[in-house]
Amino acid sequence: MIQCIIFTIVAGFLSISLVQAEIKKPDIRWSTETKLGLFQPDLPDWSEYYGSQYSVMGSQVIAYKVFPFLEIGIDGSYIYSKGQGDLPLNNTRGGEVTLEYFPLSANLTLRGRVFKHQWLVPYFGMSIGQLIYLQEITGQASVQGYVNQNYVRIGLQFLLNHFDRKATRNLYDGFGVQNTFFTAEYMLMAATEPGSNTDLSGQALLFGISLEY
Amino acid sequence: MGRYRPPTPEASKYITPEGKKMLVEEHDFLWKNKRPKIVKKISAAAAEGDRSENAEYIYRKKMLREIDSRVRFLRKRLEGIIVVDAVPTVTFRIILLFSFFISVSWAGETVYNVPGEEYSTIEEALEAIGEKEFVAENSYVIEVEPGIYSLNIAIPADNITLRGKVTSRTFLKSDNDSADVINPIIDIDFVNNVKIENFTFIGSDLAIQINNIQENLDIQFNVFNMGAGNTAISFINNSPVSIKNNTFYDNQNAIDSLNLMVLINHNLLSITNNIFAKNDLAITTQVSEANISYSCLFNNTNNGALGFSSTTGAPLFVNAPENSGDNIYDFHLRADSACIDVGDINGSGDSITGDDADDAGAFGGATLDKHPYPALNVTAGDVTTTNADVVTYSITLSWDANESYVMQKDADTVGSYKIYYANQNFTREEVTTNQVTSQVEVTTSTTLTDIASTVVTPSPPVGINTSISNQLISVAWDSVENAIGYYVYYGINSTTENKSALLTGTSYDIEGVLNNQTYHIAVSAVTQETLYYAVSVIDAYANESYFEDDLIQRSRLSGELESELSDIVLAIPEQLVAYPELPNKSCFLENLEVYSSTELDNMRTYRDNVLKTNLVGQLLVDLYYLVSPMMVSLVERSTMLKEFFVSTAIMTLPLVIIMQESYLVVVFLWMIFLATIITCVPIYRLASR
Repeated sequence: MIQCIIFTIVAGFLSISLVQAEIKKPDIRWSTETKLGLFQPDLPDWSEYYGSQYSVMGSQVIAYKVFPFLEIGIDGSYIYSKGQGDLPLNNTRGGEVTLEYFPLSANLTLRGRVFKHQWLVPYFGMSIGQLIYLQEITGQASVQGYVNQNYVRIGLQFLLNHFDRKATRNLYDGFGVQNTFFTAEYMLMAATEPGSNTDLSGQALLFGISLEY
Repeated sequence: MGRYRPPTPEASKYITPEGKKMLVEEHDFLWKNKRPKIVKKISAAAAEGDRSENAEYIYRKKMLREIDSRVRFLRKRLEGIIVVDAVPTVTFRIILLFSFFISVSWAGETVYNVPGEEYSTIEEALEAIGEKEFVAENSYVIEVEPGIYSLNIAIPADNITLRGKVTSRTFLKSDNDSADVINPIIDIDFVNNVKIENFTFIGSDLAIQINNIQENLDIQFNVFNMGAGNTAISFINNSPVSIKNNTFYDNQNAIDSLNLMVLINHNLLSITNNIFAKNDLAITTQVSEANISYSCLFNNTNNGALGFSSTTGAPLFVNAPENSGDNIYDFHLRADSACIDVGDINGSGDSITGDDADDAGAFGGATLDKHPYPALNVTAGDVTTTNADVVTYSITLSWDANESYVMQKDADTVGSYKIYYANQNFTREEVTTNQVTSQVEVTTSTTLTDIASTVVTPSPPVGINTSISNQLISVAWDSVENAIGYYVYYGINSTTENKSALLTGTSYDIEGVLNNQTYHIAVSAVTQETLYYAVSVIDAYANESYFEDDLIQRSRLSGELESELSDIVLAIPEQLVAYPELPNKSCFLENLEVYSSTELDNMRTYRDNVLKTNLVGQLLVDLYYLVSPMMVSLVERSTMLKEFFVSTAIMTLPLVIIMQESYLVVVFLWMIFLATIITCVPIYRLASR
């Protein structure tokens, strides 16, 4: 019975489309995503050096819709951590280490999109790219490098158009934005250097806003 | 963000039929009659070309804005207004009467001190006043503490007084002197009932610009020392202004007009009791002689319009700037000054001396600033120590005599000096709680005796802790009561090997230490008997100078009393190992393994000392370090590419060696090269898959 109710609700959300008299708008071709969240590196002792198992992450995606359910795009992210380093002789930790990642990718995203103004849109994506790292250590030369990086991600978009029709209309009139979504996303990122021990992989939970033009 | 203010309560919407008629008539006059005329004049002025220097265009535009503002105000007022044509009930009359008393009690003068708790700058205070709803009965005074203020302001509303607390120590100068546009320090435009008093205006294009004043602008008790090529006061048009008791010294033009066509002869214009000395032009002849009186003139290239009852002779200022150095502008008059008692015989009389005849200049007449100039060149002599049961000190202070004529009233009544001193630092506000000597008359030195010692040898600091990193040990400790400073001792074998300079804080970075060596570190505290003092001047009429906190000086009375060393702590500086340990691919040129370490170091020095000091260079460096890891990655994967880059690097080698002082050519060469590579990267990556 409970499964039946849940199925009905989900099916209802997925199938509800915006029924309103509106001006014929052009097909949606472009989308952008702006997200913020937390990145959890796979490295085991991370929290001992950086104080927390999580780092702050921001991400920006620009994509082109080949079909309503298929997008190709590029994205750039920024992950920031600040902590301490090892002092082996003193057998302690000290100093200040700043570690920044800049993942840059080309991505492919599949969206579970049936209707133009669907309330809930699940999606799945993957990418290939590179990750630039920059490690700055007080009083010492900084370390910079480059590793292969790719990710898979799954997420859910929630259409916000219905909450404020006036704002929706203004966004379309002013900027050509047809749909505005709240987005929640889980990302699994692999960032390794072939033939070396460097492994900057991790997982992230991101929340943000997606716009479709 | 400005301070939060609650919204202004809505004004009454009731009006009499006559009142409404007045508002409607004013609106119609402005909208249908005056505005079209102004618009036509603006069009005509605009047709003359170059609007930036077209005074007619600029001021007509401003007038238009004023009209539009008033029209908007009137329309808003007239919206939903209730015309009252019947006599109010008794109850309503009582309420009205009550409201009237409340409004009367609220109206009045509001004084703001700047910098103060409410507003830290003159601009902030003026902005806040400008935002207030205009009430004719309300007036605002901004009192400015002594200091140097760089600003360009416009007086935003009626009924504003801008007043310095001490004329000779409150300086105003322009914040934006431009070669193309004249920016007055104070622009007084379309406002009424304004006073500018007790300031010293210095070194700017123009001090005050006056335009379209309808009533009451007072510029009084100010000093204008704008310097060659600059103007003190400039009229845009004929306005009713009182320029009284000011000192104009060393200006290109003291009183002038930007508009050469205007005749300045307003029946309420008065230029009186001013000193004009060493100006190229004192008063432009555009000003009617009938409006000028009792000027004291000396050594001007051209006096211009003289007016009546003027005097000629040396004003004998106590300290003109060129004789006394920066920021010492003492335009008080000496005893034989030609400008004493030459002012308006019907004036208010000198408020300092109390005699009937006004002096000319900023400190004459009914001047508001009676402070003598503070004592100058206060110096302390040798300290004498008396080692009795209680150690005491004696010290002689001396200073320059104040030569203002108000330092002597008659044979028996002369000015004096007052010395404030204490063993601990104090501020002007605290001065009454500190020791004060009896006043010293006439003489310019005094010996302070029996100053009891209050300091003892301090205890050694505790809480020493160290933090270490690459070739650096950071030491911190708890502060010690009454310590004036600390020494840090350190060395590999003992603490006596090295000693820091006297430190005023409670932390110290020992730089350049050897990694992987054990250092011994200790800290000591230091005290010293110190005397803090200030000398104020009291003239023969009992007015005391206003000394700011920065005039309080200090002298050491005893040698340093140093504590024993603290407990010794050990520290081993070493290189930090970051987590995770990542391969460094930051320097592409280094990875090519073509340049020697000396050549690489030379290039890095050039990067830090030359490139990073300018924007373009910084951008080049940033760009290099952005693409460098990718380049390293590329050459690691392709032998052919590496050989190609190496051969290029070898070609630049002679340049690097020969042009040791100019690596910019090399950097540019590489940047062009890298830019080419960046464009090839996607192609390369696709091809390699």
